[in-house]
Amino acid sequence: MLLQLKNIFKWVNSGGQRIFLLKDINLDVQEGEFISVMGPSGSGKSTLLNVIGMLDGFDEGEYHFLDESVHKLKEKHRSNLYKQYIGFVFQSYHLLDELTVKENLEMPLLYKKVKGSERKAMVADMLDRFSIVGKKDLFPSQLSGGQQQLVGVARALIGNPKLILADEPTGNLNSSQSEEIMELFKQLNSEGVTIIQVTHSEKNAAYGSRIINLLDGRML
Amino acid sequence: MLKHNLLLFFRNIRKNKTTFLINLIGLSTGLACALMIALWVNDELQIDKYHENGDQLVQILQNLPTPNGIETDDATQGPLAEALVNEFPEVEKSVNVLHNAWFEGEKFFLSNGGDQFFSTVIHFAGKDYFNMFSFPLLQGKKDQVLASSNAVVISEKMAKKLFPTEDAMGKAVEWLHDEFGGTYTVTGIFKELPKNATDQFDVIFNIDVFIDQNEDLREWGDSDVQTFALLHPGTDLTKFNLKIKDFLKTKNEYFPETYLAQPYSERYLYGNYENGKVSGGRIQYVKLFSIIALLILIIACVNFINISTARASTRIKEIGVKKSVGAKRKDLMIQFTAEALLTTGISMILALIMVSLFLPQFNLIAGKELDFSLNANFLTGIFLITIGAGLAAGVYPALYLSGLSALKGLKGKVIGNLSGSFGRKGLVVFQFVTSAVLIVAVFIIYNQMEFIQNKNLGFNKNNIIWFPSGVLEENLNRADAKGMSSEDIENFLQILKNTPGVVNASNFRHTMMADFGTTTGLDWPGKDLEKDALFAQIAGGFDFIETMQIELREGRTYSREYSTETEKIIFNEAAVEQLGMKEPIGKTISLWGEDREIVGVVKDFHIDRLYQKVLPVFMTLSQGNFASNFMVRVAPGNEAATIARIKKAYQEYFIEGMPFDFHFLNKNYERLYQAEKQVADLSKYFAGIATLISCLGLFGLAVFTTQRRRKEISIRKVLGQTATQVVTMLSGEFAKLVLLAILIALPIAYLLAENWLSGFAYHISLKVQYFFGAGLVVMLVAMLTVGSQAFSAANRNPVKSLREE
Repeated sequence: MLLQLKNIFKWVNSGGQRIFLLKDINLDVQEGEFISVMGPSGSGKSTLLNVIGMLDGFDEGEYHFLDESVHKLKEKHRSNLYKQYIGFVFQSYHLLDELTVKENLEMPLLYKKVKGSERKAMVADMLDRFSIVGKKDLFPSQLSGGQQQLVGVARALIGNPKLILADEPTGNLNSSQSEEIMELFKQLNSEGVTIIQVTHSEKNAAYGSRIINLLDGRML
Repeated sequence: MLKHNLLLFFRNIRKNKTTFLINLIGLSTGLACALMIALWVNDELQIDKYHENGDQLVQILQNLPTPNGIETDDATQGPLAEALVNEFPEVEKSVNVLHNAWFEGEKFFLSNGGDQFFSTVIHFAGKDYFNMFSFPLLQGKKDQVLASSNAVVISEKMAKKLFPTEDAMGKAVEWLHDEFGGTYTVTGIFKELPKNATDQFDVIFNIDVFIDQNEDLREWGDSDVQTFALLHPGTDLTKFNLKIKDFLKTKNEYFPETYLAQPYSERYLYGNYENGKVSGGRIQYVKLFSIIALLILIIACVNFINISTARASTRIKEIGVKKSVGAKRKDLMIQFTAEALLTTGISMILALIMVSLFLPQFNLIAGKELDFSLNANFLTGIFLITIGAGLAAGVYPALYLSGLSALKGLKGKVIGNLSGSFGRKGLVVFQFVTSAVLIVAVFIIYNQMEFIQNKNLGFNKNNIIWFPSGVLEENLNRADAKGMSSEDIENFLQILKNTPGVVNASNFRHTMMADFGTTTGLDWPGKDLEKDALFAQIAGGFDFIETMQIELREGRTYSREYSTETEKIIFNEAAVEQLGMKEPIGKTISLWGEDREIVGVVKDFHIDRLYQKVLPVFMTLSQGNFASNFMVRVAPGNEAATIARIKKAYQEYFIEGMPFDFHFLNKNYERLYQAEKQVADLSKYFAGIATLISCLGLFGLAVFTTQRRRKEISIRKVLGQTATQVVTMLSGEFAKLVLLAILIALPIAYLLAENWLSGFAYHISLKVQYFFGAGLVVMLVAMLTVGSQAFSAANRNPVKSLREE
């Protein structure tokens, strides 16, 4: 098993009232799964994804990731864990504007302390795999949305993660670009990468092997 | 990683040119300022510190109890040096020295036997002088150069002047002087004295030459020389001071003076005494300027901190993304700190360029000859300052930025962090408090300087020139040359008075510029013997009081109509008060055992600096060589022509080779307050720079705030708010901060001003307008800075901003 959430609760206190963002979430994810999380706005999809990605904490429950009890880990260990195993893809790509495509891809490797020569090889590999060699010296603002997201996915993949978390990866893209990204996800999944995506689109959700529906922080 | 961070650094600069420029200008100006002050402070700290045995070298001072408290003076008795060596095992060597200054403006002329004369600054010193003080000798042996009484040791420069073509060593030098004149043999040549030596002299004679003419100095009753002692290494100065304190009592139990030994190297910075103890001095200015340097540097760093944290939004995405790919807080902290260090480094380079450009100007104001050579110490200093300032500016923003949560970063939310903006406001307030205090300081120092310059001193210092007498033809090349007789002086005075443009002229012993003798040697009926009444004494010729335009209160001044005028005495009002006499004219007092009749009382006048209350002064008539400075009052307008005529008369009356060195009395007066003048001038610049840097920071914040509130402003405008209201709203926020700063600054400034002014016996009263004036200046400058931004924000087309959103 890749990860397991047990009775996860997350809430905020507002005006003396406790508002639940996540309520009693139980979820097992096996390696190689492709899960789509769906639900209306404010149902807690992104929160769930952030909890899984360890970018956000929770208030109650247990979270096991590859035999590690995340809820017991300190910040530093947690960051080591997600750095090693998890890649993120964002709706608005979140490429650094001041860096070129190549430099954006290289950036995560710097924080993993990968050596220079190895870094170069990995970046070249990724550029090749996504057929964006010709764009390696362009800045994000010089790319189309679809191309930017392609780089975003490449950046998420470059560390060889076991799990990719994608928060509405196609939310800012047109339908043909969307399709391209989803096809890419499908292919990655078939190569063994576990994917959890948040999406509004039934069509995109259908690419996954399992659909989780959320409403008001609860799994349906 | 380094390359990556550098890349981001430079690309961010390209993107945010304004921010970078504000940081760069602020930091480099601050650093340049701090560097110049550091050079100045370093120079001050080095003065008199180069003597090899510096930590063993002390000067013996005397504490004299007077009605006004204990007066500390550097004059000591002739036998003291020898007695110290003989009676105190702690003392290894000791010498007496007599400085040129003792002669109060008298000029000394040397020649090589020919008829060209060179004005020189002379010292007399005991034979161990060069053994104790590290003035390197180019020729001659330390032990021997001052061994004989016809020896003279001259500077390299003087040797070249006197003997341009030959080796001066062993040559004969003629000294034209009524007391010490004669032929001396050059026994040594010393290297040019370092600039950071307080003692500057061209020529040094054996002190015996002086003592032979002033036999009183062989006894313990007279204090004229200065005494220095070299203590054995490891001597405890406190214990030594206890031992020597009452040493004079062992010579004569009636002498009231006690001794105080102060390290020689300390005297320059710690030259003030209170109650017989060392109490600061120039060190206060050194400390003051160090604090100002630090404050300016902090203000510059504050800009960096404020702008970096205020603009967190521009970096927040980067922080979020980096954290999501596993960057630790430490990684980001390093990155942001390194950016601050790099900015500081670039600023430092700019600052060095500024310093090299402005150093000559700074030297002019500060009266220094500072330069910066790239030696190891200097480079280490630069490096440390850069690191220090870089860390001061960078650590807080680094902590702040790296602590932002990844999630918020990814959502692009700038935290409405209250504490952050609170801190930022606090820092702005701090900047303007400092600026306002400095501006008040400038107002007050300037007004006080103005006050000093225009204070009625009781005599008229304007339109007076004075110069020492020259050498008479008949005295040329005569070892037994007599000085000027009273006839010589009288004749020359007549010539002066007949010169067109001359209003009046007189001969004078002193210079009227904090230069006078003091004595307790007055006796009169009804004197309170418990109190050792101290009087200042000055001596001059006929017409002296008239020339100086000192006002007569009663009686008369000295006059050529009477024949026994040298047995008379004239007091000022303060002296009469000290005497306790109701009707002093015609009464007789005793001065040094001789009776003198009081013939006149003049109104009070200031001969000391304005730190002191008016002194009780008496004036005696002196017509001979003892009073051979000439004071000439010239008619205003066309002074240059008058002075040219005086010069001609001088060179006709005295031998031709004499240089005509004259002084304007009012210029001399300005020099008395030179240190204060320098402080005033420097403060002006520092206050300006502090305000400039503060405003630069404020400008940065204003740019940022208006950008952030663009949408709000547009909505307000759409809903009907006028541009004026928007400007008021935006400026008001900053105005409140500056106002708060002014309110904090003014009481601080008041206390500081009161403290500084209390050092002067005569000073301006603190007026409300100094403080409000400064407040107004600060507020005005701040509002101009912010207003431009507010104005442009208010006049933007609201539709455009809203569409952008």
